[in-house]
Amino acid sequence: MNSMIDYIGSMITGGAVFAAMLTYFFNVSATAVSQVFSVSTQEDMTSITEILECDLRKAGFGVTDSVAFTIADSNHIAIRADFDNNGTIDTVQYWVGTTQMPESSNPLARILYRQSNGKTVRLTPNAITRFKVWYYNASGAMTTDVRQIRTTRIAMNMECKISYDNQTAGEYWERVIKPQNLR
Amino acid sequence: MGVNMLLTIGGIILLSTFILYANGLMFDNVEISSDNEYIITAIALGQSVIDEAKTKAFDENTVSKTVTSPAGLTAVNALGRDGSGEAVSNPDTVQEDGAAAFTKFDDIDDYNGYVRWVNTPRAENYSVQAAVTYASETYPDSSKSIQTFCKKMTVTVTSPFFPQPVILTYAFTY
Repeated sequence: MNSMIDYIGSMITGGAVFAAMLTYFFNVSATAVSQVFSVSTQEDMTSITEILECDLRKAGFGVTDSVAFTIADSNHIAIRADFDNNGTIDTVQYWVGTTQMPESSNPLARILYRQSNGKTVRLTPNAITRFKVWYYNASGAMTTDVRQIRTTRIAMNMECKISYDNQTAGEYWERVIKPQNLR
Repeated sequence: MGVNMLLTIGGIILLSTFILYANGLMFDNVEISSDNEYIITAIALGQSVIDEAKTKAFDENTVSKTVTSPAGLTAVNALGRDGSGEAVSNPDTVQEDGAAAFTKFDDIDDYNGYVRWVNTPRAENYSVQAAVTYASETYPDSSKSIQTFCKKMTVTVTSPFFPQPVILTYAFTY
């Protein structure tokens, strides 16, 4: 009888330890996955915005005809500048696709593209759910006249293309950028 | 049997301590990662105010003319908005076409005492506060109680989603 009690007690104790360990490892893996998604989205956002800021800050450098932007749409911007300082004016464009990103289940998910001198690259594997650009003239009023643009404001919302446990990692960024060459 | 029981209880206590400690570490990591998301946004919002100020004149007295001596600049105790034409709601809010300050302010120190509330698609209630003081041209970290050709803007961003405020500082020179 005593050995039976020992046996049952061991089973209960072992079961409790096993359940605790199982829960622990489940939590560790869940946290690891969400951490990876979260950190990769944040890294992606900071990298992209660094590139975007770098390009935008150079807008108008070396341009002699006062046209620093050739496209100034709310979701498409084309920046003119002598980016590589070789005496030739280059054009860099940013825009989001018009169709849903195939890898994402979010209907707002789009792909962000950058085109430099005709070469197009996809900037991030993650989904851009908002990419909007506003343009302002010297007095701070909104404008669509490319010759009048002195300041831009960009808002971008990025979401990880994969959701985990109904949670989607994301990052929002919004900046006013005043290119030094536009006066 | 007594020894076995003690060993079992000791083992369970050790295991529980380990799991509690490991869980604590995980939660800390999650919190840091979550804070980072909001801090990245906060930095961008703070830098936006600084970039907005870069589009303005150095001083109310330099909007349409030049000043050759620091004494010709706005007095220290008058740093701030000049007249009702520059009045904005307190706190200011960002509308679709931008914040009111962007169109109404015409010089850097108009942002002194300025507060802006920003809601983003992922978090609400960012508070962006700006303060402008005169600083030494050769040591912009300082604050001066007399006019100089250097203005220091300190932007403080707070949010319910991260514990410590994000503080950005920028020196404007004339």
